[in-house]
Amino acid sequence: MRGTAEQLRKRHPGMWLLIRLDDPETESGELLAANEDPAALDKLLAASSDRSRPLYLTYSVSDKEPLPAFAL
Amino acid sequence: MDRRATTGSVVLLRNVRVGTVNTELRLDAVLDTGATYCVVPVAVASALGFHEGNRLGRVPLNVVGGRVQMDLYSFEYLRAGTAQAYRVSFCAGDLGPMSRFMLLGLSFVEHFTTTLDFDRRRVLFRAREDR
Repeated sequence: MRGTAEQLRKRHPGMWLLIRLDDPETESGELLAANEDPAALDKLLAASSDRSRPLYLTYSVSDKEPLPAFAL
Repeated sequence: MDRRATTGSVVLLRNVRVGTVNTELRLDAVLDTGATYCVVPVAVASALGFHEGNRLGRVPLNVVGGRVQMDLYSFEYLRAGTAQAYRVSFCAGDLGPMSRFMLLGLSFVEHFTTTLDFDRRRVLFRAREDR
C-alpha cells in the first residue's frame, strides 16, 4: 500500500506503521507493516538493510482512543 | 517555521530525523522540556547501530518513581521540521512496552529559542542569538 504518511495513518488508526519513504524530501512512500503492537515492527526495522530510502516509524492516533497523558 | 501536530495531551512532532554518518531513521517525538536528554526507543537505537560497545557512558536519570541508569549515545544530527542540530546526545530507552515515540529533550531543544504556539498547533524552533 502506498500513500503519504498522513494518508496511511488515517487508514490504520491506533496502529504503529513502518513506512519506506520514496526519498528523503517527501512524506510519501510504501507501507511495510502496520500493527497495534510496536514490538512486531522491531524485527522488521532491524532487518531492513536498504537504507537508501528512509524508514519512518510512526503512530496513528485514533479518534476513539487518544494518546494517554504522559508524566515523565 | 515548523508546523507540527499537537494532541490534547502531548506535543507530538512528526517525522523527526535521527541520523549517524551512515544511516538515518524517522520517528515521532514527544516534546519534553523537563528531560535533560533526548530518549530514543531501544529498537531504533539498535537499528541505527548503537549498542553497549559504542556507548559514551552510563548516566543516572531521575524518573517518576525513582532513579535509573541509561546508556548515553550521540546522534550525528537530529532534525525536527527545518530545525537541525548536530552531535545531539541521547539515551536509549522505551517510554513503555506499547510506545516507540522518542522524547525530544533539552539536549536538542537547548540549541534553539523554542516557542509552543497552541493556538496555531505548532512549535517554533529559531536559532539562538548567542550561537
